[in-house]
Amino acid sequence: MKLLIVDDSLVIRNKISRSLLSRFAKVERAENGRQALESAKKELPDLITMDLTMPEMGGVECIRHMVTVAPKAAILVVSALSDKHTAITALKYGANGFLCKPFTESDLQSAIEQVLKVAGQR
Amino acid sequence: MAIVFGWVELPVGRGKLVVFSKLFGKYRFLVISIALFIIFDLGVLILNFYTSGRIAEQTELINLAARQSTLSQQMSKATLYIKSQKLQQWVYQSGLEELRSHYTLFGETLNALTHGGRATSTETGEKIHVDPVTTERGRFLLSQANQLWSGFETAISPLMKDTLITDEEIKPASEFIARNNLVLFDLMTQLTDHFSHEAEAQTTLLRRAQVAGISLATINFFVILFHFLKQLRTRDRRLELKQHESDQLLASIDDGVCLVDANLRIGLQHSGRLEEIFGTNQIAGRKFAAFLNRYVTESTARSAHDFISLYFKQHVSPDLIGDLNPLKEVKAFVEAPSGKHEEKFLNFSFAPLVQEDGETVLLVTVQDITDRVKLRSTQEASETKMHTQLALFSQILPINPDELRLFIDQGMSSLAKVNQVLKSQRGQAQSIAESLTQIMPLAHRVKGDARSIGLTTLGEQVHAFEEDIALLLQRAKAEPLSGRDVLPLTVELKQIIENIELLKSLCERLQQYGIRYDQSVTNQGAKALAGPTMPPAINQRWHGLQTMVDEIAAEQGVAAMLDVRGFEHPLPRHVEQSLYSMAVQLVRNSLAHGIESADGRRANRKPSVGRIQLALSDDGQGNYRFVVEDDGRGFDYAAIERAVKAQHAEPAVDRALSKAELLKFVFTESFSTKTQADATAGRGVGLPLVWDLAKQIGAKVQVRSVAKEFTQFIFLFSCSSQVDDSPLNAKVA
Amino acid sequence: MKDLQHITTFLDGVSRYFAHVSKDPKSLELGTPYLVRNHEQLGLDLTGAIAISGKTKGFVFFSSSRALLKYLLLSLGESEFTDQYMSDIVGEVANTISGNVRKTLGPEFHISTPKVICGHLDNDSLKPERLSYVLPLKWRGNTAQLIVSLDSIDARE
Repeated sequence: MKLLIVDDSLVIRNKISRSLLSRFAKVERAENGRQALESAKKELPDLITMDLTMPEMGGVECIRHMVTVAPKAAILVVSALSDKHTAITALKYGANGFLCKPFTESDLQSAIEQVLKVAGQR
Repeated sequence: MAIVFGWVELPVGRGKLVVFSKLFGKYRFLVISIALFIIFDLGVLILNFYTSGRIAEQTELINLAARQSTLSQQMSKATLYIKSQKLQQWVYQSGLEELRSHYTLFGETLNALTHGGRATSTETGEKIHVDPVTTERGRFLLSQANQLWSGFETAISPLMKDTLITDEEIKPASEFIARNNLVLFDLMTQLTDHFSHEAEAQTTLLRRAQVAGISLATINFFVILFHFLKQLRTRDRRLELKQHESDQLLASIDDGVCLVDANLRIGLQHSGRLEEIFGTNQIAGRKFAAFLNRYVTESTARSAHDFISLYFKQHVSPDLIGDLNPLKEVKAFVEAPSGKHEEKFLNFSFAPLVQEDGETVLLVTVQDITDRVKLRSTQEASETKMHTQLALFSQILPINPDELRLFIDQGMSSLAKVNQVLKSQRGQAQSIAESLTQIMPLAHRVKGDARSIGLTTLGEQVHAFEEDIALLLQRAKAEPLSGRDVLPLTVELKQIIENIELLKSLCERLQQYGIRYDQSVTNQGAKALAGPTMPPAINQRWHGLQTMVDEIAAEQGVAAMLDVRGFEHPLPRHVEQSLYSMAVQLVRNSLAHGIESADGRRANRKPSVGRIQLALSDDGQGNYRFVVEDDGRGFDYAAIERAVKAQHAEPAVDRALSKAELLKFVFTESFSTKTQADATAGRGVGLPLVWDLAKQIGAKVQVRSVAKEFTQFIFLFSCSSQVDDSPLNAKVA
Repeated sequence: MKDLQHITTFLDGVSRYFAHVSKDPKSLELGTPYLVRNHEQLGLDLTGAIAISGKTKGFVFFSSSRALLKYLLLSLGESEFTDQYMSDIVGEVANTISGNVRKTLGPEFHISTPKVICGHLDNDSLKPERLSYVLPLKWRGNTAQLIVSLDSIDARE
């Protein structure tokens, strides 16, 4: 299983990758939507954690493209609750779930299980 | 039934079995009944078909047997013919041929009937197959016939060989036939009869079977009919009951509950509470977002639409979107039945349900959490109340203890009167407004007194109370007031009373701590307070009014000096208190309406600081003269007249009013030349209050005023004088 | 204005009960609320009392005239008017109030099960100098009172 972490914050990227390292054979990181798309094209990840507000290309835009680039990837939006509507839009465009920052490791683990489950049912 | 089931269940696979058993489970009776109906009908049909075949065969048998009888006769006739022809030496060939053919036909038929085989049809002459006769009587007759026939064969067979026959050949044959022919005929006739009987029995059987089959089918039909009518009726009743139950259930649920389908439409049923929350019953079948749009902001409604559609998207995990719910503690504006818009806080929660048919519906629960949200905010507000109390505390320190005591006494008695008015209210809408009008001056007095000794915080509180009364009175013009409208006032009243009590207990505590706050609360002071005349220290309270003047003057943007004269001698306490309250109101009045701004005063060549004088003098006989005077702008009669006419539309005042009349309005009606009320003036309560107080001490009131120069209120009373209701005496210099 | 909110909640509880019984939301009329000292005589013939503890302490009383209770029992289809029945029904109304309180004001309000008192209220448990609210009620011409005696934490201490 391959994981792609998309977040402009290094702290968050590290936190997620630390929490999920044991579950994934390979972990890729991207700082914005553009990098994420390039990485996803090459690696075809199984799971993507996606921040929404990032420089260059935001999460919503990225998810719109991601569903064609890596259609099988499960996408978990991991973002603060500042703008509910943006998060709703992200889910509308194909993200499978939402996890609110800040989160605990177990929050993240159970959210990952959920999105992998719904993405697997598709 | 069991057979039918076994037959259906065995050959089908597991999946199909489920379908079948489901089908049978629900429609078991129907399927079985219809199957039986078909079986009965089919049975009758098959029996009919089979029996009619048998009857055709039987007819053939009857014909064959009948022909045998004929043949036996004809054989005898032919033999006799041959014999007689031969005797006369005539040609007998045709007879012989006839005999031979009869003989062959009889033999063939008898054989076919006995052992089964081919025979010649009586009707068509064609060869047909005949089954051996199996009935007992048939076989008995046939065996007799066969026995006899073997004799015939012996007798006739010599005649079958040549075209010429000898007398030796014909004679024994003829004799044998003549001897046995009748027996053979009789056997064949009996056989014919037997076959006829058989046929008849078959026909009867068929008829019976038909009647039985049709009857069974008919009975079955009625059973089906009745059973289903009954079942339909029970189902209808059960459905009705279920509907009733769910209606009841929905009516009793305390939260607003409805379902939303995949088209984001609200389902047909919802709880009664939902209608209460939104104040409408037009809910069922509407688009959720469009419905919501009337109550929340457009962007919230749009977000809500997008959000709930996520629950119907296969790719979204419903457990992971709860945080995004835009309808958590959402503020909604709901139109109350009165037409007013009411602010509510609502909490929507959503739970997807998968129905039996695999479709997802969304269970929406709406809670009205307005009270909870407001409680939270009032709890926050109660913290600020602590500060109020601190302020109250800090404000009492500079106040003379006697003044404070007087204020407390006076204030409590006024507020007790307010409460009495509320208590004696009988609840009629009209009289509620009247009660409020009665309360207004009482509150006004407390406010003025509080401010006069520097209790600004309390003054503000009473001001707010007054403000709320004024708002209610305004409303009372448009709609009748109810007890509920008054409730907030009662709550405010309690707070004011409690704050005054707090003042009292603060004073007492300060004493307990030994703080030399209150010098005069000695035994003598306490006695003086309870006694009939005012203590000497009261004088201080009059001089203390300057503090109030400074404060209000600063608020109004003017400057004024207070000059207090008299008050050296003790006065009856109630008189002193009334004079004091009157002075407070009139001083406030001067500052709000009389004293001009520094610029205005300069323009009129007056000293920039205004002067207000309070003077009490007496003639030593108990006749007093109390004067309140300011050097302000004087009464603006024109403005008063405008205000009076603005309030009174009736023709009685549709003329120039005298100054005395105008003054009467000023003293008796609540109106103000100020268009905007503030804490000091504008409510038009002050002068009527002065009028009331003056009446209480039996004072005559005189007003003198010169425009741009001064205003003077003169009160003449004697300490023993009774309440005087004489008309106002306005003197205009 | 926490008092106001609490009183409104209690009042709504009672109103809802009477609205339910008489199928008319406006059947219960409220006169002008006023204040009484706790040492004064409180209450009418029968009273259902609820004690409140927690952040806010105090009592809520639903006090009623016998006449009102009789009418209430009548409209509930009862034809017996013994003290037992009257106590039952007055407790029932008090119960409705506590139910409404639990629902609207949340769990920080601790409410006792209603106690029924015959005759004037026993004011021993009330601070004698404090003020209580009296909400005069009228239902089909008969009187009752909702008495709210709350010693809110921020009042004096």
